[in-house]
Amino acid sequence: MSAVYSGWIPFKPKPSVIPGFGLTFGLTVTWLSLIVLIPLAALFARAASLGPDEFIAATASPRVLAALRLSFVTSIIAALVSTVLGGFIAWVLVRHPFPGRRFVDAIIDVPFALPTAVAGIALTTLYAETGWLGGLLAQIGIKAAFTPLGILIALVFIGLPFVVRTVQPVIEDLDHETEEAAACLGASRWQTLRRIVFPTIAPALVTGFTLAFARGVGEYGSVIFIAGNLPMVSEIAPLLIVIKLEEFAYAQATAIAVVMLCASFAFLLAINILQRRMAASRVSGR
Amino acid sequence: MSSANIVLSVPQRPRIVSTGAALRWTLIAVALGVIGLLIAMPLASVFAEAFRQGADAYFGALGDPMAIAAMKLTLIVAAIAVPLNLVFGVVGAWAIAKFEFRGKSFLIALIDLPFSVSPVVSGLVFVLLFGMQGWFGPFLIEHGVQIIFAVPGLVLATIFVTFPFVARELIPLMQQQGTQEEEAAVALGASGWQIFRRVTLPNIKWALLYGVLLCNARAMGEFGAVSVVSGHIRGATNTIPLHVEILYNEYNFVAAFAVASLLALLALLTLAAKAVLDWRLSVSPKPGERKT
Amino acid sequence: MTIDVADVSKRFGKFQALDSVSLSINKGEMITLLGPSGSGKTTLLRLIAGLDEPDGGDILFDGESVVGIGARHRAVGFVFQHYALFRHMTVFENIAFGLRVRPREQRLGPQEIHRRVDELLELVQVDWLAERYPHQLSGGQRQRVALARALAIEPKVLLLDEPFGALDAKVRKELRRWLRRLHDRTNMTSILVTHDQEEALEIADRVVVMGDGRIEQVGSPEDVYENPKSAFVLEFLGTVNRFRNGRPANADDTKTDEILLARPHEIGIEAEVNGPSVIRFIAPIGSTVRLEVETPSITDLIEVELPRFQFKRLGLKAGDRVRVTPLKVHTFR
Repeated sequence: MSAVYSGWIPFKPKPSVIPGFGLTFGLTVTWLSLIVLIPLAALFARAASLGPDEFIAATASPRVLAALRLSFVTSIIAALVSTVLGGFIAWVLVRHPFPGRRFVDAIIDVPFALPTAVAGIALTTLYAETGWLGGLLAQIGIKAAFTPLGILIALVFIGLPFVVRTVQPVIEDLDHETEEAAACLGASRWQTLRRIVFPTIAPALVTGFTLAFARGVGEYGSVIFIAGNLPMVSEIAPLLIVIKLEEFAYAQATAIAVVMLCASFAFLLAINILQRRMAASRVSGR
Repeated sequence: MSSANIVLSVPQRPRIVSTGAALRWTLIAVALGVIGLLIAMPLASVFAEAFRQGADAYFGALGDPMAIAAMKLTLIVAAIAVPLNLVFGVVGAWAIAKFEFRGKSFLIALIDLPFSVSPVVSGLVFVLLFGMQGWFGPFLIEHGVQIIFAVPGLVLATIFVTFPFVARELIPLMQQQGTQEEEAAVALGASGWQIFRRVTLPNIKWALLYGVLLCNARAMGEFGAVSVVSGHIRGATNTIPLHVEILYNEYNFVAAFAVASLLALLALLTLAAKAVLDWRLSVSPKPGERKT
Repeated sequence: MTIDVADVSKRFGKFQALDSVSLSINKGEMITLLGPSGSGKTTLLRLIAGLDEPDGGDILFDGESVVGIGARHRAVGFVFQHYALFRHMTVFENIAFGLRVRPREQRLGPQEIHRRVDELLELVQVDWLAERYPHQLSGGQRQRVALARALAIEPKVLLLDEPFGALDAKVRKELRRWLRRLHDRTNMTSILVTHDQEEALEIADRVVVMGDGRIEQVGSPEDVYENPKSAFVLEFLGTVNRFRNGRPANADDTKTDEILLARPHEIGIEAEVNGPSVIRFIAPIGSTVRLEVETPSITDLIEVELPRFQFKRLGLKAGDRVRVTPLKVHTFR
């Protein structure tokens, strides 16, 4: 079948009796261009208009590098934590029904729906030393709010539902019979989980991780309240962009944004290639 | 042949490869603990903080003229951004789901793009276009049109960040539903609009409603992008989330949480609507789904 | 290995899946559990495998109770209806799995495992597929791999849950003959669950007919077919016609005075100018011809099956008036 389609001109549809392709496709592309593509192109055009010296000067300062490093490191760690916790929660939700599960399942989506600023002030109040949880943590000598740990908490809050919602359907689709087959063949529960269940849900875990990471790196509202925003210590890259904009240093803001976008794109691309390699080696038989 | 003895539905067998009761409840407790600490408690604390000084303080904060101005502005922005994204979400989903063409996955990726761009960058791009030092900024300001630090900028940034929501909900559903019903309608002589109105729309209405609700929740709650383009002019360019930020930074916590509780309520309503819609979808089987 | 099922019961909620079932299976026997869905045949198989535990009664392997011993330690080979292959593993890895998860002290060396798997691949005739993944195989190939995987742990008993249910008719026939030959070679005690009477009768040493969580009849295929102990068994083994007082009767006619059941080929038919019945439909199916005959007093059509040559000799056609009489009848009270 695909051989027949391979000769298509890009965006020219396969003949269909259903009307409206020209109109809907045209409107979509126009609107997409006006709202998304042209503005994003402006960002890169602006960055390109900076000379190399200007660009490096804007991004190579210790403060900028520290902010970028903080954003990436906390996002990666938070995405890892989200992956572990989210995978675990998804497993429990699917495999261990308990009274009120539907309600808990709905609660998982709160970080999707709750505005980030609201999440930000709520997490800060909760994890500040005067807050319900921050007080407990302070007693064991841990300061959460206004430190990088606070950033991590906010990013896990944001990333968790991405992992749960990616992994949950895969666990639901797991075939009970494969696990029973493993048991009949003498595998222990742990061997079954490690060798049968985990490899099956691993791709979904990776996808959940990348989604949580991509969201976390650019996250602003839920982080800035809890972060403390101390330059060089707890100042994230998106905040630095805002600060530069408030100083009307558009060139610097643009340069940081472009570096941030490109770095996260490169990271996601690397994961994607890794995933494809894994899938490809599977099909070709090692 | 007699079939009186055939029992059609056998209850689901419990599985012996499941975990023991003690471990089971430990796992459930740990999962609930994580969800409680990370998600439920922050949500609960919004309302707890809002009512810390009683109902009078709460309603006083909501009745403040600046708060009311912020609510009005938020409603205006959402009232412009949501319908536009509704229309283009449906139009885009139609083009993508009902036709086969090369470059389709590329187009889907472009539609998804705003999801993967930092909200701050989403605001930044409009500043670069329409700001004082932007491409069109000086020209527009000369002609008395203000976009950045004014309502049009808020609207543009909101449309940008909520762009994918409706299309995202519709595309998978419409692809799954296929084109047979539309083709049948064509064969029966229906026009394009009639097909959409009478065949497609009834099939997608719940997903469309949920997409619109999500789009609206995000439009009203968006913070990073509007923060960049707003200029924070009280009573003029402050939406509810921006107003929350200002109150919070002024250490006016009760007022900040009171206003924030409105947005939290909106989020809860959106999730409740989702639960109802999920339930509806599970009650009426999707087309093409096998009955077992 | 002998298997004894003694007085075993199992409920799922309100549903009584098995109601004090007892069954003895001899060493090296090939048994089929035959019955409609919900009759308890799969439940019985899963209890024997240790995938479920009985609510009451005992299950003995070679005279020793295995109740309470999980599937992992029972050393049974189980073949699932939908194969349950590990989709992220090659055919080779699937078959080797049972050998690789053994406790370290019992585990074979890598070369030994390789040799065993190669043997099994050859045994089930899929040796050229070793490096394929399950999704690259046909249904029949998958079932062969599933069988090889189950055999890898050298089980003392082989349990098959509708193993050919998801295959098309031709492959199904081929595979079940092959399975029977394999069983004759290995001489392993085997239990196969099926709802296909033809399959059950063709492959088994003994057939266990089940209905409503009970065993209706146990016997050789010949015995079960020729001397069904109940109307249920007879009706499950194929189409039957009912007669009462020598005349055709409706299937739902449950008055117990002399209900006679006759299979389509156990009915005589002759042309009669003013006969009470009319031929409504003629279906030539291969070597036999099936006739549907309408009789005035009842709503059900009578089904009659004739060898082709006899049909030709009678010269019957649709619309002819005839008289039908049961030649051999089964009576139940």
